[in-house]
Amino acid sequence: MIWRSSPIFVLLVIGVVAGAASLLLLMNSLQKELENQRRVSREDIVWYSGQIEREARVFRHALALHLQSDSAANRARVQQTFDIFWSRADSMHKGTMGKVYLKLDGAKEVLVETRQLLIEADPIVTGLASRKKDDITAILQRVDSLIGKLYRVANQASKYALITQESRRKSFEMTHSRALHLMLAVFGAGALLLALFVNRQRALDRLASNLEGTVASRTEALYHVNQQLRMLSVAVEQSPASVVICNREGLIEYVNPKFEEVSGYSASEIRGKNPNFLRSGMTPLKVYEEMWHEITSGREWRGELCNQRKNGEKYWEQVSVSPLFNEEDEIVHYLAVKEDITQRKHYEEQLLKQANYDSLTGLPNRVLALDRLEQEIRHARRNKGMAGLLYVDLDSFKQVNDSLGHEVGDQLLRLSAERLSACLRDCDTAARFGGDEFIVILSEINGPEDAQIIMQRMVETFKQAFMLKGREIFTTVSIGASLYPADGDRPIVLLKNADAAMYQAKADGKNGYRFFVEAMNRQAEERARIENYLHGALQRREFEVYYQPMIDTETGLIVGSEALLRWFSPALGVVPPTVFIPLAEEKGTIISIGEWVLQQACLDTQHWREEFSADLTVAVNASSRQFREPGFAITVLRSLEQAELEASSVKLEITESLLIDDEVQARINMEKLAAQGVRICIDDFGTGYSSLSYLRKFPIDTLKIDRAFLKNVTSDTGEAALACAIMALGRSLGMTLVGEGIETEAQYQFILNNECHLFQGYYVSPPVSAEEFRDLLKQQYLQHRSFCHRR
Amino acid sequence: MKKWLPNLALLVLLLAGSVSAMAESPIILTLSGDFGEGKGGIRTLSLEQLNAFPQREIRTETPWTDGVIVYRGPLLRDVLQWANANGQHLEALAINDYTVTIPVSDAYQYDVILATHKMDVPMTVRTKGPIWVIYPWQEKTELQTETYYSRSIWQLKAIEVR
Repeated sequence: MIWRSSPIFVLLVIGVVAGAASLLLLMNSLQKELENQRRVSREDIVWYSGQIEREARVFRHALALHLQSDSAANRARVQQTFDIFWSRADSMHKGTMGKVYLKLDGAKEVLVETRQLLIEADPIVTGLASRKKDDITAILQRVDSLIGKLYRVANQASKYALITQESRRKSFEMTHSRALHLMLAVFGAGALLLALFVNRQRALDRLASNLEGTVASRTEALYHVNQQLRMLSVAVEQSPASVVICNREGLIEYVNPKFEEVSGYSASEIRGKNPNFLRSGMTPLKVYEEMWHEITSGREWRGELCNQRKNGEKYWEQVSVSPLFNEEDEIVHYLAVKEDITQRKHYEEQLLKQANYDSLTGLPNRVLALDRLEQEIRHARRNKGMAGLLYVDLDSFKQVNDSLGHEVGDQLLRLSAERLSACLRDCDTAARFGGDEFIVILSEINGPEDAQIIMQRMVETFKQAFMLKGREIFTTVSIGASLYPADGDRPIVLLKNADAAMYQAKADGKNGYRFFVEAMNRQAEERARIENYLHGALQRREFEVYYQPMIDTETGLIVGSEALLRWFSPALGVVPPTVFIPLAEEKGTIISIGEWVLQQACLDTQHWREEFSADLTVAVNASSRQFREPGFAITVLRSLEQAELEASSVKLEITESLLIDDEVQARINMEKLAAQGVRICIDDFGTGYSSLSYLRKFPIDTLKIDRAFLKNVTSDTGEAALACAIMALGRSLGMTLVGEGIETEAQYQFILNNECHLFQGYYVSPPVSAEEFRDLLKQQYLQHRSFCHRR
Repeated sequence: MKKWLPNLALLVLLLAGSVSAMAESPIILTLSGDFGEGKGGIRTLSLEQLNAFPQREIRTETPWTDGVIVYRGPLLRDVLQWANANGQHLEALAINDYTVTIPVSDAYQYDVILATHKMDVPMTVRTKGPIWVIYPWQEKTELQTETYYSRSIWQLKAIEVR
């Protein structure tokens, strides 16, 4: 990697190797040179050439001595020095030294001359005694001349030696400096190489330590993942929801114990099978197709499926199926998480039906009617068409009901509903609005004439007698009509105006119909008047808090009360809460009125608690408007504090609509209060769109079951079953149950049997003033010296 | 040096030789130094006496001659043992008064000879005789240096053992 990434590195290495190699070669050649120099014979050519000159001089000297005195010794000396001179001259040109000597200027000539002289002098020297002095002198002179020449050659040798020495020195110096440069280069490259190596090594070390770090953190992460996986698998095993994992072909690979429990199939008998054996046939094929399309496209699918257990029983499941992907983003598994919602589905169906349809007549109820009306208005607005609303009231229902009893009254209502429906077109909707009131929504009418035809038909229909229990009973209808858009563009306005028209019809002698006209809007005027007096009523102390006892079903003792507001207006008389509360809510005065009621209720309750040392609770109605106030929770807690009342002694009653709207501020207030121990209670439970999910989402403590559910429990087995279901549901959610509107012994027995914890109603007491309530408590106190309650 | 005692046979031979040659043979080499009787001892040798020593031939080139030449003569160490010489250095003296110092160790380390014959012919002064100290340059190349060449003295006439 290093070698590939750094050509400079390679060049340096090559440089160093080449440099070192040439340095080695250079040293080697130097070594050889030195060796050669050591081996060659003495190159002291100066000495060498000087020697022959010396021998010549020694010979001349011996010769000269001989000339001075002739003696045997001198003669021997001449002979010996001659021989030595000879030996020199004879070998002067031989060997390596000889070769060098011959190169000297004049050396060859002088050697030839020397040898000539020696040969010529040989007989003279040998026979020295018999020779004339002149011959010897001649030799002497020639030797002298030779010595001069030999000297010059020796001189040349000296110069030659100097030159060779010089050149050798130069060559040596050159080699030396070359070696020095090479060495420098090699050392430089080597140092650079070393630096590079060190650098690389450091980089490698860093890399290694980074790698180690990464490995360590990966290992740790892996450990955590494993830990999590283990936890997850345990969670899946013990999950309260069914879990099914299929492979990419959709065949089952895994099911958890909950699935086995719910479906009745064991894991071993279904592994490898397509889960479609669960199908009950109740779910449309389209749903399955949609599901498979979604999940094979890589998306999650959620929905409800009706499946079949091994024993053939059908059950509903809330199913969430997600595809699982591998690293290449391919689907490898499908994960299904399923919750058995059969029970919930059952309750919800019943509740839905109860919520939308009137159980007596089978017609849509008020809630559904208003919904339809709203739809109709929207439809008409879109098509720039017209819609009509009829308000129908049975004229003599109350008399029939009172004189002939509920059963006849109910039957009359049922038959009346049938007759009304018979007068309508397919597109119209008839609904029971409450009591003996019906409304009819007319769709797509072209003008008042269409409405008039229908109303006429209705009035005609009711002219015929009803046969009830063998009797002929006559009842007529009064009908009021309002039209969209002429008489209003909102359901509430249309209703109000139709109602006003209906009252007009009644006022005009019943048994007839009226269209709404502007002047009819007396209710509006009435409303304005009430609003006028409502303003300042609190300051004028026109309100009073009444209390309706709340009874423990088992002991029959008063354990608390519901605080109810009463308005005694000097100008208007007693105004029912149903009239002024909506107005107060609309105007916002409900905030201050509500606060006052709360304070009053807390003070009264704490007072009684102390007086009778009883653990009394008080339920106070709180409107949605109050709950939407940011400071509401604080207001409540302050009231509690002022009265020194425990938070758990107060229940705030709210309507289901508050839950359904699910506003942030309301939720915050609710949670804040619940956290402090204040209990939240659902008033009139069952009349709205109640569903389990709402109850679970909020900190609800108590359900007050609407009087409508308990009204007919003694006569109607269907209604009794429904009431049982609701109470069972409440209990299963751990709620305290309060029965409302208990008026008879039979109703009391019913709730007692169904473990409804508390109740209130005329069976024990209507709402009473604080003073009267105190009397009730006192009475009870005297009867039972010590209270003991559960709630 | 004492361990280098000459063997009896050699001694007898040499003594016989020297006695017979004493009359006519001139002395060509004089040894001086400590030969077992203290300093100042003298030993002389004639050509005949040198010839009587076991002969060693050396074939070699020299810087002063052309071609390979065969030299012959007694080993220097034989002569030194014969003389029972004690000392570390030999001061060699030539006829023309040239001197050079030869370590005694040379004689024992190498087959150094006192060559008296060149190509089987006795050497005269004219041919650098009568004695030429010859090292076996051909056989021991490490000897081919200026140091050993300088010790190769010719026309040798005397050795002083120190």
